[in-house]
Amino acid sequence: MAAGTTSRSGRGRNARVRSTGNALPPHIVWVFGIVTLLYLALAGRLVYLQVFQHEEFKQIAAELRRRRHVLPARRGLLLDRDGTLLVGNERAGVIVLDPNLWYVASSKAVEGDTPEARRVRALDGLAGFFPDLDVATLALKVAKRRADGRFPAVDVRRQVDWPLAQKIQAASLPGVGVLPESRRAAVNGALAAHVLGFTDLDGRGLDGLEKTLDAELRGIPGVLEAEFDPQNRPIPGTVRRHEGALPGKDVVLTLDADVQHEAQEALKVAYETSKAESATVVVLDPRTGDILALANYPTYDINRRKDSTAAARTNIAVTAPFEPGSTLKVITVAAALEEGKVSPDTYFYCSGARGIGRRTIHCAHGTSHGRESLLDVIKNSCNIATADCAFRLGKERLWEYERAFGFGERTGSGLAGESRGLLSKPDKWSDIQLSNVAFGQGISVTPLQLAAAYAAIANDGVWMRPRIVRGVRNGEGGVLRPAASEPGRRVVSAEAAREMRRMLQSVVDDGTGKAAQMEAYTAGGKTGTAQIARGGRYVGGKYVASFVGMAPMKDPKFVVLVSVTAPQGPYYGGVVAGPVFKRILEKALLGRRVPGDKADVPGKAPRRRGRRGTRPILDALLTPRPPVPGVDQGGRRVRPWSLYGAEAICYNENAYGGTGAS
Amino acid sequence: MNAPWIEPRLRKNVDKTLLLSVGLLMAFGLVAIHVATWNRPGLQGHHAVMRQGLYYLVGLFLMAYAATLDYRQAPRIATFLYFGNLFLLALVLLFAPDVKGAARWIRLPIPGMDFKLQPSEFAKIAIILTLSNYLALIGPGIRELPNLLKTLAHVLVPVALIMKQPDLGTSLVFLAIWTGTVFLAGARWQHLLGLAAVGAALFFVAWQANILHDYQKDRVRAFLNPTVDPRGDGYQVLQSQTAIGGGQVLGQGLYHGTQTNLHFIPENHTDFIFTVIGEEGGFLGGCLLLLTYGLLLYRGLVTIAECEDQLGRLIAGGVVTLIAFHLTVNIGMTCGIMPVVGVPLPLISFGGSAAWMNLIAIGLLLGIHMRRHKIVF
Repeated sequence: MAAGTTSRSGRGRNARVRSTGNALPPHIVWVFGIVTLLYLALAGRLVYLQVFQHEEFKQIAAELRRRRHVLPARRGLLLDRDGTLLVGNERAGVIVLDPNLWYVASSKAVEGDTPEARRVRALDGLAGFFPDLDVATLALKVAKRRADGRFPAVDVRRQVDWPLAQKIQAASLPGVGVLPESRRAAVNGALAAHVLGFTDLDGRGLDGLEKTLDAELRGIPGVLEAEFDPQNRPIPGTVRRHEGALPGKDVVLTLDADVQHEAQEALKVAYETSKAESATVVVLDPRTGDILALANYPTYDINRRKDSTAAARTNIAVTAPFEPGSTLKVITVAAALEEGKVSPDTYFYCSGARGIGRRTIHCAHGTSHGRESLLDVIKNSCNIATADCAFRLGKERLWEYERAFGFGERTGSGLAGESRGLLSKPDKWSDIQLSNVAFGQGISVTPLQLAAAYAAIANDGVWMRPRIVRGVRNGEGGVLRPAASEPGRRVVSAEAAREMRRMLQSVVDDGTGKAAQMEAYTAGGKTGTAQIARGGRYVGGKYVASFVGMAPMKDPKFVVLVSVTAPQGPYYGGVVAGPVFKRILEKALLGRRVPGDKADVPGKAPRRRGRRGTRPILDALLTPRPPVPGVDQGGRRVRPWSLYGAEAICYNENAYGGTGAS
Repeated sequence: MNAPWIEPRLRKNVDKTLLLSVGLLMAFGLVAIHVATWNRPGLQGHHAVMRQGLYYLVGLFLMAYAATLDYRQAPRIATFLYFGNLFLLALVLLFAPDVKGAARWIRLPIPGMDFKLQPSEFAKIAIILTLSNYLALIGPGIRELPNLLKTLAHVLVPVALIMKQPDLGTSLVFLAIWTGTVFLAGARWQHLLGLAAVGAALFFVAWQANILHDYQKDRVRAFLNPTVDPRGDGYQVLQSQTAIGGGQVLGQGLYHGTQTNLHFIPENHTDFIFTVIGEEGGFLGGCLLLLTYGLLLYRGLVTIAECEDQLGRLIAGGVVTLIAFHLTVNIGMTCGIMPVVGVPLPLISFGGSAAWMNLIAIGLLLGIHMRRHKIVF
């Protein structure tokens, strides 16, 4: 007998228990039945799932894994004329917040790891990384369930610096994910900002060349349609469709990073010392129309455009026409010369004032130039004589020449937002208007138009359409396909152009433009000091001081326009803009290794001025060059392909939302 | 007091069919764990299988030891068992705030091993023993509602402690054990239905009053309609169902399950291990597993039927309920007819505490079977 029986025998109810001993216990049949039922339920479910419905489930399983990934195309690079990288791409991060993950708990839940605690942890963590983050608004955005019971996931920040994004990822805040994305990055955000422009967060061009060249730069995104495992890797053998992204084309611009940099630096000095409202510089290659440099002040940093004002982002050089004043006299005189209405031997008489109809025109400050040659007209910037030239030409002719020199229509340079300026029809001109247009009033032109007109003089009378795109390079390391070159338009004869250049040189040599004189090079140009017209009337005491010129005079390599709007203090074009012109040209000519031409002219040899004056080229070569973006200190171009490469190409991996539960 | 070894005359009564089913389940378990973990980063190689094998080995000794114990001695230690159990459960709660992530475990300082004991697992055994003892004392009195409520209170105290962890699945196991045992003891089904109705009403109130954790609510929601958002809360269930469905009749073959190998199912070596069996073994494998469990349960039911002693019957009934509930809820969860509650598949899911608990319970069953006759010649 078992040992335990005795211990149980003492209990009162033992007899009753024992009495049921050999019979089945009361509910055992029921228990048996219930267990059987449960079994049938499970087996039935398995039959349903595995025998009848399996095809459908196979499909659902595949569908759950199948996804379509968009493979973003690398946006094309913007390079300067020598291949120096100006704008490239870099890896950045999108910080996403998926509040649904706060509510997904593992089946082994941990005390204190509540959705509320996770929420607080995530939001506090994000606020720690982004001190300026509006956490309250963010919390509101993710607080409400949508109709389908899920919470909306939101992008907390986009285009976050990749190192910071990695730090955030490492912090593994609940529900916070980091996805890689591509970010547009200018090597030097301040360089040629107005030309290059910027994109939106998704890499679509919004302004500048980024906008006008968007079609070239954009590329074609690829598609990867396959089944993905929970780590978002495509499962081999399941790829249904894979079209690689076609990278955007790299665009080689006509800009010269060195000249652009020097132009900006020089302009900045003038802008700041004169406390002007704005300032603009344009540098053209007269033989091709290439825009070598174009800059305005105020300006902004492409990489930090959020901190800039709309005014600072305005590309004054092409969007803001102004009344040029005296600089336009060159067009009038050139036209009269070409038409044979005047010759270099023609003499004029200036009494300081001339009545036209009921109005009177004056020379500046009431000076009278007396008897003067055609060369003197330009050198003295004589209004009376210029008006005389215009009258000899007639309204129609002058208008035709203004058009031929490119005024009154967009240059078609390829820059964003070009204005056509203002050139009214000649049949509406009165005599006074004719004389006004002749010396640059009642007509407004953009700085680029004006520079292009002077480039025609520099290019022996052939107007070249200014252009900003030198060529397009197909993908990485592809062959440069040069932009279609357009034949120039002959505006005046080569002889007339040369004659004009002789006059322009006299302005620099001993006229109003002496401040533009260089040590080693001949230069020519015309100053302009125009009153600012706003709303149909002139603003008192505010002038646009400008200087447009070229060098060297025998065969000009560069045309430079400098205009400074409303400088405080001296406002004469020669004084304010001349030194800028000089500094840019010295740098540009040196960069092209153009030999000095002044010594060739007998009697025009540069005066010895101290130790350095005699050897400007050598001295300049020995002087350390200021750092230029995209160019290292040794003067070598930084290889553009070392600045992008594999790092720049990234796929928008859908790294979150894949595994809902763990 | 306890026999150092099974008396020779009892030894011939060892339920060999039950042992066979246990052996088969262990084999099933080892294969399934290997399949689920062999290419999983972090669990690579045979690490998980070796550990589980070790657990089984220790568990077999525990089972054998439990079988030697005479269940009729249970009343002597019932009080100690009950309160000791409560103490351990309370201890877990006390440790929880200090050791983050150890809300359900007590870390055992075994050198070289990161072993965490889950007192709630052993609480299942404790509650089977103490409840059975209590019911045996009450006897036919269970047919009266006050007595039934007293037994419910007996269970609800540990349930409350476990709910606090929080662990919905284990709490439900206790309620299931209670239901099965009192039913077997002769409670009136009208009372049980009435209590179920009250329970449902309380659940509704709890839902409305936000006593349930959000994740628990979401699980219930996901259970009710997993297709609403296949990548969200219903994710596990739908993934698991599709995997099982994809297994078809014959299965995709060992180590060839698509969903399994690509780690689409989280925790597929623990709570969702049936998914692996269903996908790679198909309907055939699933049925084979169910049949093996059937054998085990059948032997359990036979033990209940043959036992001549009320206490023995009730303990055996508790063990049968325990295993039946676990396997029904677990398999039901993986194939989408039960809500997702963290309940392991007995003897198959990876994990030491659960395996030991199950083996000890089966050991009790063996012991009861050996001693089923009051008089042994």
